Amino acid sequence: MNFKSLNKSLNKLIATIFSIFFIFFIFWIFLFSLNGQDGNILIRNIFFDWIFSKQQILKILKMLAPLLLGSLAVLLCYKSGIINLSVIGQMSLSGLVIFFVGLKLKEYNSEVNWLPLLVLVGILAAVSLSVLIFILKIYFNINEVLSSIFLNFVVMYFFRFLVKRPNILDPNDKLSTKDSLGFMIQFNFSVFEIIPISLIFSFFIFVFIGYILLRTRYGLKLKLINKYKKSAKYVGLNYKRNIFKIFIISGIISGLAGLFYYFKNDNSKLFLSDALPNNGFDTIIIVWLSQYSVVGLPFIAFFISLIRTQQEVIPISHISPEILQIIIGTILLFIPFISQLFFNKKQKQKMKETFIKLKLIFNKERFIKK
Amino acid sequence: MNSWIPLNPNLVYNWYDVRNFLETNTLLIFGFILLIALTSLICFKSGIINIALEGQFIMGVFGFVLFGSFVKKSGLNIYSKTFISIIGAFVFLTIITFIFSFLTITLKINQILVGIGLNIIASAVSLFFTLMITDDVAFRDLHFDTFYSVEAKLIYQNIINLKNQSIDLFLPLLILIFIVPFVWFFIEKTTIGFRIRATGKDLKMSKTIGIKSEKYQYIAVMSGVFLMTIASWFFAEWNHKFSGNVFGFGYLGLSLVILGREKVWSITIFTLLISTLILFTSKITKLEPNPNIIIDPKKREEFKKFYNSLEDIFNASIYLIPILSLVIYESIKKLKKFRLKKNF
Repeated sequence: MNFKSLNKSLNKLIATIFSIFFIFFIFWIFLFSLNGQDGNILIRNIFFDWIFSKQQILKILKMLAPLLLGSLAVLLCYKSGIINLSVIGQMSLSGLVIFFVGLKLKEYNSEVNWLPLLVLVGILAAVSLSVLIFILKIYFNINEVLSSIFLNFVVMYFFRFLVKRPNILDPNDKLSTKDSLGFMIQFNFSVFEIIPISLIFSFFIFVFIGYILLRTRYGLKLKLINKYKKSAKYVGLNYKRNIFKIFIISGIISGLAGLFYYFKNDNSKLFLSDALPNNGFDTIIIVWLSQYSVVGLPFIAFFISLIRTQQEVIPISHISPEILQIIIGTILLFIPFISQLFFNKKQKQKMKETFIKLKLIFNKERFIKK
Repeated sequence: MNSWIPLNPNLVYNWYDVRNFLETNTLLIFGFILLIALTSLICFKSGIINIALEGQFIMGVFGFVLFGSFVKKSGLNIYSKTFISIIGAFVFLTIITFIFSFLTITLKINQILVGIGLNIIASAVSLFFTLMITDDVAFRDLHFDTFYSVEAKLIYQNIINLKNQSIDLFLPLLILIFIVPFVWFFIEKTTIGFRIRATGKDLKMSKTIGIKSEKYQYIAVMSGVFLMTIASWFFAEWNHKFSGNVFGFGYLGLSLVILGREKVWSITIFTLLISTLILFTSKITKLEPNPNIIIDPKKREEFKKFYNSLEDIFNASIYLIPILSLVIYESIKKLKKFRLKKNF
């Protein structure tokens, strides 16, 4: 690594850490002004309360596994020049398919462990969605962002349609995995009661893909395709084939992420909602906050999973947990703002120029007054 | 149970309601979807894919409902209440749209990522403050009392009754009749519109010609505020309450632009089709099986659940139609090219 790239990544790190702490500080002041103790409680809840609780750490790490995998899928696509918003749909589709196929298989024979088959089915569902987006992009010239947003909504409504059907929904409009799918008991165990098996599995995948992206010839090829699409063609790289591979791999990863997300507990619940699920958006947020760096991804993923799990146990009654959503969103917009203003040479020069102009105007006015 | 049996009109108690489309709701739905689509179109023409439209719409509706709920119990008349609420929507929309345009145009940050960020913030901010104001954990709804609310409707119906339709039917129609040609004229015939289109087609080229592309992109994005203000008014009146969600109508506006091939008139026609589909879906959920024919209450419940689940299939089709139409359009294009090659 040369000095320039080291400097660049250092700038990214500074921008991210500064914005996270700055925004938290601002919101601490805001909450403090609303009601004295709320700010302190919020900060303590997010940064300290979970440290000595084994149960809470397990919860956070269980959340980390799907977020890490999902964000990896988004990053992988981004590295090859595709903005993959379909992770939202892919995750929910794989969870949904596993649930319904699992129910049918359990009806057929409840003594057999169907887990490997169900995992395969979930992954296939996610991959089929990503392949559909690939076909729409390559053969029908439809932008992947638009097609993935529309297909996400289609999956969401399809999800609602299946869940709403008679005899599936319980009276509280929730779909519980506890009684319906027995296989989760064999799947959902953790090492030393802290590290869940799903996290170990996803970390291995992360290291493998991260190594491919950073250190192998294939990773460099992807970078070339992203930055210089035409010259990549002249070099002899097959654009379609490479992009197809990326879509397949990201589909597999996000299928697994869906499995880990929807079945992270024995008693996970599939909710009905009118909006797209948060988990998918979180993966995109993680990639953005880590500023497309492979190394920074797990740390940011941990931060987001920490916020998402602690969000459920905020002990402030009169302030809604949406405050954390606002904090995440503000950090999201603040990071590029900071990095553009302070680390972009052009912007720096622009700022200097405007400063000089303002100075000149100010001096002129003073001169006229005299 | 054969799944299509419940749709037999003879078994349904209130089938007539489903067929009756001419009412205020039709125009309100059509109005706000069309206005969102037109806003999206202007942004599209200037080269900006405005994914933040969903967030903008949330903030607009939130502003309207927030101001409306503030003046609900005041002694003001309905016109001034509505006017104050519209100002609320305008203020909130201006703020969020300015943030979006500053980040994307001046700082040149990725439009899609900024859009996602703003959508997240908008929904969270609106929910947070709604809960703070209402103090109601179970129902996070803000209520208001403006032009189309129940009391207002009664007053208008008493004044003029036109074939069982209240006079308020004509207000959205009037607005739309003026706005649609105006937007078409603005984009196609004015100098500003021409410059906006030029920046959208080729940013570098427009700069070399001497067009201040950033300025025109700002004009394009910020002009959407006026349209979105009216759209949020219509939405709030249609929904009668607000709970931090606009059901993805912002994205729908974007899809309509693609569906209508970026032309004002075709967008208007497609919006009419989609809005009738939406109204149909919302009506079909309210269907009730006739108790004189289906006597078994369990079966009646099953039928009701079926009607409820149908809503989602129709909603899914609203998002599938644009994709399918694009696929058909592209394949026809390819076929034409192939034929041309063959002829030569």
